Amino acid sequence: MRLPFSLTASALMMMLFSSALLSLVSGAMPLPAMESLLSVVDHFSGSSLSVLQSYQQAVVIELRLPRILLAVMVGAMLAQCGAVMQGLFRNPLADPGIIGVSSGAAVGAVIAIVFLPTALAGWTVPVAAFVSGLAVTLLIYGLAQTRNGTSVVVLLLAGVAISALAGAFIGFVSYFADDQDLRAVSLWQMGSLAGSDSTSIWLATVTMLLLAVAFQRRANALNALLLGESEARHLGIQVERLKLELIVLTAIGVGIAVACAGIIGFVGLVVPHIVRMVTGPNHKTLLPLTALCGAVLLVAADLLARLLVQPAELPVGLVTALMGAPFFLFMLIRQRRSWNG
Amino acid sequence: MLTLNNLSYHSGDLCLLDIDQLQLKAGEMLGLLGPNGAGKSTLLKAVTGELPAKGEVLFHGKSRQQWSSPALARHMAVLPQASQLTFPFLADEVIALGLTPLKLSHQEGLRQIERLMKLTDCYHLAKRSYPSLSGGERQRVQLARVLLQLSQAEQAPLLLLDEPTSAQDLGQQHSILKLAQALARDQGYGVVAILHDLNQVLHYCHQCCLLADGKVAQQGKPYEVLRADTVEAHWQYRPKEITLDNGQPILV
Repeated sequence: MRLPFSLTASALMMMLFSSALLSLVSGAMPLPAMESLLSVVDHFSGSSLSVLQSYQQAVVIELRLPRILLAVMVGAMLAQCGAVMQGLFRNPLADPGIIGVSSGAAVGAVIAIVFLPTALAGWTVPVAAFVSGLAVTLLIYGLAQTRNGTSVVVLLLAGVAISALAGAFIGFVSYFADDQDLRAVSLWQMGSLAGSDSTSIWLATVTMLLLAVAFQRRANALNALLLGESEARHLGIQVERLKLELIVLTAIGVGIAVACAGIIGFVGLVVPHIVRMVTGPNHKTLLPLTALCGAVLLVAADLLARLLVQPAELPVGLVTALMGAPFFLFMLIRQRRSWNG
Repeated sequence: MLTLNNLSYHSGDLCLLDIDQLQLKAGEMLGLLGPNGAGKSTLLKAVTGELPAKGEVLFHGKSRQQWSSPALARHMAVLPQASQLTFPFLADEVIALGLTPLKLSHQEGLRQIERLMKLTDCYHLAKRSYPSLSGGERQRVQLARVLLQLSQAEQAPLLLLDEPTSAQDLGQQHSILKLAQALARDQGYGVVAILHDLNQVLHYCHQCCLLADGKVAQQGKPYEVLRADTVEAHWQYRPKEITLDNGQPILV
């Protein structure tokens, strides 16, 4: 039984709004919901409806709101990239984190942080993350191609190897880092939205919107690709070009997401899977719903990350891993029967 | 409509395909025969451009490169032997993928899908999940998709069937071949079908082409080509030739 698109979209919209609101008012300093909302309205419209104290408004506007916005954008971006990668590899187990693209992007980011002096201020980290993420995606895609299509075993093993290599490399680079860089580096590895600022929010927003449009335009072609490469070619799709475009686009998405928030795993795996179960695998509906659902999941995960060990906080990547890794195992068990190397 | 000249394909030193000349007219159904490894699938792939074969493939007088990808897709379609779709699409969604190269309104698309589902006997499967279907059911869903893809052709379309009966029960085998025959006869489709059942070739095809080691061993009317001697030479099995009361030859 499938739910219609409009119903699912409305439900996800409401979930996004409520999780965002909950995130706005919860934390070390609980705040009243209505007043917090009004201060957000004030912030954007210049009005003065809220009666919160200025330090309370600062908590809402400067601490919590940016995190929520970044969580929405990064969550939407990662989830869509996951959905597209699964279509591209024709396998529901593909995820930027699992096949090593995120670690690859992190290598670029870490090199930029440690070795390039003005790294954190400008474009160097996102660009470096994109470039190394792209390189890793191309490498993995090349490795996993066999005469009978994409080999899942090679895909996952290559992911393991590349993640290990990336981890070792990041550890090696960390030797050359000073204390401040070291903190930044460990943040990338575990994923955190604490570093949200206007630059990262803008960057993530613009990228997310552009990717959403670009992916949506290719939704039909992606559907055809699921039939198999020859079948897609017989349907008039220029398969080689499509694959290259999708690889570059997902590398941009994952690279920017990693640059803004570090490695946040499993969002790209879990979200498309859930959406497929609810509304079916058609990319025309899958992609927008995946974006919404990814946003909900990451906002909720970040809320948990902030609340679980108050007043300290967990890296959000730990929370998504705690939720996502068991899910991945569950899917492996379900798929086990259809596997024969 | 389809002319092949000096078409060859090598994999390393091994010659997998070497066709001097092969022609198919619109409205004709060609049965492609041969023992395993004779080059039947390779020939189909060379025609569609899946394999970079040397030589000339003329389709309606134009080489493949002269066709735009969507236009070619509207005129030439392949029914795959099996498909690797693992995502839980519904059967009618799989068929709707045949709309990819077409420019149809939503309503017209739905109407065509319904018509073709009835034609291929998979109307009752419309809302079933594709991966849960049996091999034969999947193949009929794919056939509906492929026919949808060809439904808006301006010139006679070419339908390539890669073992269309391999997964079907006896009744479905004949209804699929009858459908292909009717498309050729009534709508001028060119049909190339890889078949293993010689009697089906005798019964349904206008022409047959017997491949051996990548070359055309014999070509012509099925009842001329498929004699006991020829069959024995290529399959190491000598069938008995029987002529039915209506003059139709069969091999047992």
